[in-house]
Amino acid sequence: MNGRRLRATVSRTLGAWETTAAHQRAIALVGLGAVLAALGRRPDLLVIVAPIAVAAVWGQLARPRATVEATARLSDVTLREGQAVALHVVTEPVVPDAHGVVTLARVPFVDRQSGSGIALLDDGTATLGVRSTRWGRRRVGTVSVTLTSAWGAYRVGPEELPDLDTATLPVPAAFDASAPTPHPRGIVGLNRSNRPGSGSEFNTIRPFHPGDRLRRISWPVSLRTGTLHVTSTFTDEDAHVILLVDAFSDLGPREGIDGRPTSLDVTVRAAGAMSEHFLRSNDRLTLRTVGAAEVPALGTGSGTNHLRRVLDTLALITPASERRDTGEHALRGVDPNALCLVLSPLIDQTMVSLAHTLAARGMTVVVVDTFPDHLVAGTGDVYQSLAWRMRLLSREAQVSSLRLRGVPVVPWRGPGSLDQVLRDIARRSSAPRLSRR
Amino acid sequence: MPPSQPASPPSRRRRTLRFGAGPEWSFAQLGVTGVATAGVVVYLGALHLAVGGFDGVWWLLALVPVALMPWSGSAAPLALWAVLLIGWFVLTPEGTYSWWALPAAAGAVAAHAAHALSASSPPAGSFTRATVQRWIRHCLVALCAAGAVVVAVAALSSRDLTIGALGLVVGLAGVAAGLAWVRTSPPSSTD
Repeated sequence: MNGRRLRATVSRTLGAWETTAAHQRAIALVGLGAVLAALGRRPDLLVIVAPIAVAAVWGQLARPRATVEATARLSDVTLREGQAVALHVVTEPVVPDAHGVVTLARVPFVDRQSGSGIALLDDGTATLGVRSTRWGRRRVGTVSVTLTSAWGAYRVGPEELPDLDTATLPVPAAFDASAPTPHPRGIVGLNRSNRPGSGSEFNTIRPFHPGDRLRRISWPVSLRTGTLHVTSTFTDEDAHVILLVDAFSDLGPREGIDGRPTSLDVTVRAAGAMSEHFLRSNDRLTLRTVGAAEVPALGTGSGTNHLRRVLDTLALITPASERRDTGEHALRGVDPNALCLVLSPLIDQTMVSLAHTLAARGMTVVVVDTFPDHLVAGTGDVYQSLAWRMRLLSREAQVSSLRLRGVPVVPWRGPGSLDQVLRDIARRSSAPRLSRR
Repeated sequence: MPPSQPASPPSRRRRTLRFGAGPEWSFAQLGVTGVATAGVVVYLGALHLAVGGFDGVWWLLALVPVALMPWSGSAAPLALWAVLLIGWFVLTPEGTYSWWALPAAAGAVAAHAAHALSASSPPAGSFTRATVQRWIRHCLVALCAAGAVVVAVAALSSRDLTIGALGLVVGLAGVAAGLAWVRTSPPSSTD
């Protein structure tokens, strides 16, 4: 369903009214009672079946004649994980004395707030609450509508309506970084650059030049020296951040927002949190996914609208849907001065290779390890524990190879996860370095 | 990105009961099944009083509505009530009339309505107060027909109620015509 337009409203005609077993029972009992009463001269049998005869005739006379159309509508198709939304069902025209039932089928990661997913139509309308518990695009369970006329004589349905779609955006994990983003180059960001210019970070006090702003004049220094001096600053610039998301692996039980996260849950929520942080800092951000099919390439952008696009794109990820992906398309046209953050549980070799490739190109690469600790913590099976031990030894070797190349690997810990490594990168970039002549 | 999340729609959890590996049953459905059972009990009680006692095996029929709970929308209740009507026919003497037919009619219409209402909703479904009140109202109106028949029988009790051959033919033809009308005359559409 990726790439398809989300359906927020669906309608369907419920079809023809048909007799029920109750109506047929009433007719048959009346016929049987009347025959027995006539044959055996039993007026008491006529008394017994008389109310049922009324029910049969009443049900027949009150047979609905209108063709009913049912419409289901979601009040919002774009949700956050754990958010509830109302599902409204309306039938038109309203059938008098009809008993209407709406049922919502159970699907994974959609909680039905009424428990059993059943709502009664009241004057042709019913409302059900649904809650999405995991990011991604998915269908809300099938809605079916049944109407029964007076005395339960005629029924239409249960008729299943076309499925409704929702896009559940990941709830970004908490993230903050106090360290500046390396390699700022733009003009609108909050990161201090090495170039003097208009900004907020103090640089020096220098003599006044034509063109300097009057509010920059440092009056104490000017009075002491007798010539006009101004306070100069470093210019504030924006940096370019590339998020490389590993969609090859989704390790762990999928329990949604209320349970333990899978590795892809951690990856996607971390990507959302980092996107939110960098885009709120006016940095430019590019999102690339590896290992997921049908995820459109998202260009570079900034601002809150781009954050929405990033979260929408993350919600489109289907894990391991493109296992042949080598990641080459993700590296195509990347800015060499960008900070590249690789978010991966480091289980699939492709992502390790991509990090090596980026580092070999001279880019600033940081690998954010999104492997959830609970996967190996609570393993009761001895064979599973042994398998994990072997896999983690192999993973440790891959991490060591990355570190040997100078690629820092930091575990995802939420706020402050990147502070130390970003400071180290800034220090490294300002330090003297050997160059080949 | 809107930071605030809209308030969730009001949720009303219904209490349900599960018997073994079967489906969930709402208390409303269990109540309706109880009404159907009570209808059978009232019918059998009226029959017991009308004939002055019968074999205790007949009372086992009171358990059938409980056993038929998952199949209230099938032909099973018809079979049950056919047996009960034939039981009345068999156990009561020919040519007699008992006033206990009136409570038996009440039991029959209550059980019929309970089966019909139960079939109109899934096992875990329930019914609004308005729905229940409407069905009770309809049952009371239908029960008035039994009262009318009782009055008619009382008025004719002093007369000879023996049905002649012509009357029998006419009566059966009327029943057949009624069934044919119900079977073949769909109402014309008003659209």
